Amino acid sequence: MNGMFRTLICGSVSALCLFGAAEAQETRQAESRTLADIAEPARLAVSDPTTIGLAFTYFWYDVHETPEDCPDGWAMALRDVAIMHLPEDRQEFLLRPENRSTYYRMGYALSAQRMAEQGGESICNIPTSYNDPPMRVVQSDTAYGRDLDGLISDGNDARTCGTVDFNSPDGTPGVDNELYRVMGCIDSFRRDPEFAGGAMEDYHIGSYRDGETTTVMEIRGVDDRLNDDQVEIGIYASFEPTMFDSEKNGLPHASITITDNRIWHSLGTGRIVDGELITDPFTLRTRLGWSGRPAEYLIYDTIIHLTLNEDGSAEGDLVGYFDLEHAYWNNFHDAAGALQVANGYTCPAVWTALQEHADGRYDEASGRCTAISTAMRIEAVAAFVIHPPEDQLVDYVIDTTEYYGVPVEQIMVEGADIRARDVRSLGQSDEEDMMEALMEELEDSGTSDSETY
Amino acid sequence: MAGIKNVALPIVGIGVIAAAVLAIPDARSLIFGGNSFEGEMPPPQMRRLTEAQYRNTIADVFSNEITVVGRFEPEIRIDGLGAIGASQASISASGYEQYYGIAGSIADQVVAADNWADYMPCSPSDSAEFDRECASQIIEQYGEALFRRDLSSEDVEVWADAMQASMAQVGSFENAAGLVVEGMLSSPQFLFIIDRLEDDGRGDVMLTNHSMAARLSYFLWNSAPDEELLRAARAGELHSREGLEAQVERMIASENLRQGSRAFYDDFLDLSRFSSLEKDKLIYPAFNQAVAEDAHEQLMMFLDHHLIDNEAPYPSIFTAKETFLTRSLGMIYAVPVVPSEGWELVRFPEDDIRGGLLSHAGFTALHSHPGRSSATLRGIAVRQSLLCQTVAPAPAAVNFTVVQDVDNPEFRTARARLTQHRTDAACASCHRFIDPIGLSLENFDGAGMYRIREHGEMIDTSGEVDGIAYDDLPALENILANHEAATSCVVERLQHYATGRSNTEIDSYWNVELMRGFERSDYNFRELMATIARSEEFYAVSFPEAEGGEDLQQANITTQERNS
Repeated sequence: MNGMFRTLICGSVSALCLFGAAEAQETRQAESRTLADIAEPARLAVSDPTTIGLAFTYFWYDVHETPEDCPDGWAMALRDVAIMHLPEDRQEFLLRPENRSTYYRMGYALSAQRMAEQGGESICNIPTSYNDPPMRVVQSDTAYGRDLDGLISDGNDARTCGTVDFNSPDGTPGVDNELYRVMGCIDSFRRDPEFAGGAMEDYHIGSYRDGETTTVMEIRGVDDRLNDDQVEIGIYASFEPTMFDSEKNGLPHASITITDNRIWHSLGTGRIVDGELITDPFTLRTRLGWSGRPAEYLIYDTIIHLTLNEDGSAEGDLVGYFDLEHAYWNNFHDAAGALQVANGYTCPAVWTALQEHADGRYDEASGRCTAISTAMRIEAVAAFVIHPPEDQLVDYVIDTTEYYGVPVEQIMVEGADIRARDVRSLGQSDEEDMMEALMEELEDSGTSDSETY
Repeated sequence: MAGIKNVALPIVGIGVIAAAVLAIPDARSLIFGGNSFEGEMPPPQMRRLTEAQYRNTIADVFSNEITVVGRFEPEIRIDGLGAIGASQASISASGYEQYYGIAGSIADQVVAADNWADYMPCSPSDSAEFDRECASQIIEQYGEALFRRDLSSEDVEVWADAMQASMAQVGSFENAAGLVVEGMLSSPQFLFIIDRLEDDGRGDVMLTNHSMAARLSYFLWNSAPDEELLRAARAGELHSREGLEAQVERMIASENLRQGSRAFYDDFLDLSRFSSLEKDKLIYPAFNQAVAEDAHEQLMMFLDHHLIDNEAPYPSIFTAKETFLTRSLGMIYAVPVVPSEGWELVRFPEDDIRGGLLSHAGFTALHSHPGRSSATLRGIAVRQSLLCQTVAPAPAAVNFTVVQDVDNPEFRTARARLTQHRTDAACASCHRFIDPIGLSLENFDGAGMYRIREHGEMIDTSGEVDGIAYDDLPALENILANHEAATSCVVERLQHYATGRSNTEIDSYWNVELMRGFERSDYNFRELMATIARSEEFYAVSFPEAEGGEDLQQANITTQERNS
């Protein structure tokens, strides 16, 4: 056959040839579609005028950054712990930009060493195993957020576990945002640090843009979009992606089907005042899948303020008390051990800091706070929230007992099924592969001295 | 398969004119009832297969599993239709290289070891030995299907001889069979739908049964005749009124009719331009390739739903309220779509201006610029495609500055910009004819998204068309639905599409008959297709002779054969 011709043609314009093949198949498929599969009669092509649908395009901590926040420097990463006992001149040498890869590899080596010491268990599953230097936390007194408890705490309120409230940037006192205090000096949680700045925000927002995480909201029973004293709200997870354009702006008017898992349907009530939605406190539980994590937002006493724009978009904030373990798992847990090297914290240090700064859901029995106040920023575009049929709804939680190293009772929800975790991202796999390789290398070297690297 | 260049491909006698093979007395009268039409008969044609016809034919003759890879010769549109262009198109040297490459790729797949049993009627007992009986079966099976004619025993012998001769160079029976398939697919007998004639018993010529089958099949199904139609052709049934009627009824009732109707919509509305439709991503971020593909498919489904499935009167396509949406299109229409994948049948409320053909994103986005809407392009599309009216091309050296400057604060709407543009006398006369229709579609931006304001100013969609004033798009749609030119246009276009020719003398008389029938059927498009397929004019053909007695048809085919 005319192989020579084909080589010439497809060899020089292979993309075209491939396109042609795909196009051919698509053409046939398109033509083979029949209307028989399409249900009739036709559904009326209108949206419910009493419902406002939104798809979150930005959902991340409201981080207030000033030069006074961290006078002692950024929080220490595992890479810093790895070199902190080295002579000062050696530390200076490693901290030079041209030696950054060696500096990081020492952190990875320490991570691998610790995992090897713990029989391969992630250190983040057993954060009390090591006494890392205390977390550097925010020292300034200004933060975004709202007063969740009606108190202006000065460190002497037992029910807020001795925490000190912030002032908002406009000077309003009583702002509860202790999660910001904990994470505010971690370089990757801020935007201003030179190297890692913005990394965690990009991971989280990237998971929305990549379609890994989708959060949608519905405001129902809206009689007046400017003022309505009684509306219902729902926040839902979805496994369908939010649409973004090439400039990373969310695209409006997507139809998004929410998950059938009622555990990730968070319902509440609220009101609209001068075009701003203000919810009553409710419990938010929704999934967050950044980098393949089986993470969840579990935020109690959640209050949302959203300005509802004429074009259907909205922006505002969400405040509440983040369940302490979920705050840890969501933001800091690191199954492979690489995250706490590349980003400015260690699991032992951050775990301790979270316990120290928890300020909500006081537990009488233990005398401890079990949640930590937080403030997040929301941006959303208009969307159509599509609900699965009622009879298809289920309740389940993802089995993270091994992933987080906790008993199943700790993650279980009454009445729910438990389902195996079957999603792992490429990134997570890469991290784990890298750590495995490092551990093997370490074992082969016959030494536990991280300076080998 | 090396050494292809040294293998002489068989030049099979096409057997163009099988004169007086069947001595049917006054055969046309037998088929069509004896009411001979008026006017001079049109000459026979060689219509180049369109890309869709090529792909459909390969899928139907072989299977959907065969991948067709390559570029096709560009479509030529004449008198508003690619179908007419196809009957006047040739194949360039570079285009033939492409066809040749595609043929080779298809043949490779057909004779691949894993596929052999699926496609071949027999297998040789020894691949190294030439099995003439098996070779003949292969040649007979694919020769008739691909050449759309019956193969004589001499034809089969010539191909079999060539296949045998090639075995020494290509090494096996299977490779030689591949060469046969490649040769057939590279032949003008496959690449062109060639009218073959025979004596009609009264001194004139008529299409052979196989050529009637091909004409019928490519019109109604946009693909090669199926086995039943070939059987009827072999049995000579298409030369009887009952036989032809039975096949037309069967084909009109078939699901495959959608392939034919869709091919017509594509040609009628010039939808092939969807393949190159691009929008400025910054201005219309929601419009992407998926939207363009869905918008194209939406038009197909919309027209089929109303014209084929519901057999609604043709004018209803202007005023319809039901259409289909996907999630991608839902973002353009800003309405919810329930299924995560696939299509949903939706109905727009009566007070919504959307639903009719003109409001479809496929129409408004297609007839727009990449970064702005275009009342002029939309007006031209309605005038030319839907009303079959002629619009003169824009004069040279026109100043479009005002029209293109969409951010000019003095002229915030398209109407304001075009009004200013019309102050140029050279532009005024045409724009007065074109623009009112297009301005009534200004509620749709360049991506087909609904809007009520442009740059903050309310959009005025009122206008006047052919002396009738109206207030908005629904009123215009009603005018078009009742416009005589709208129904006569689709009849004329379908007639030309079916025959691949512009108006001839007999077509003018025929058109009047078709129009009457169309009215009587309450503008039933499906019935119009059937009426054309049953018409004597559809199969009408004469035997042309060049000045000086040269046989043009034979000369043309001989040239093509020589080139092959």
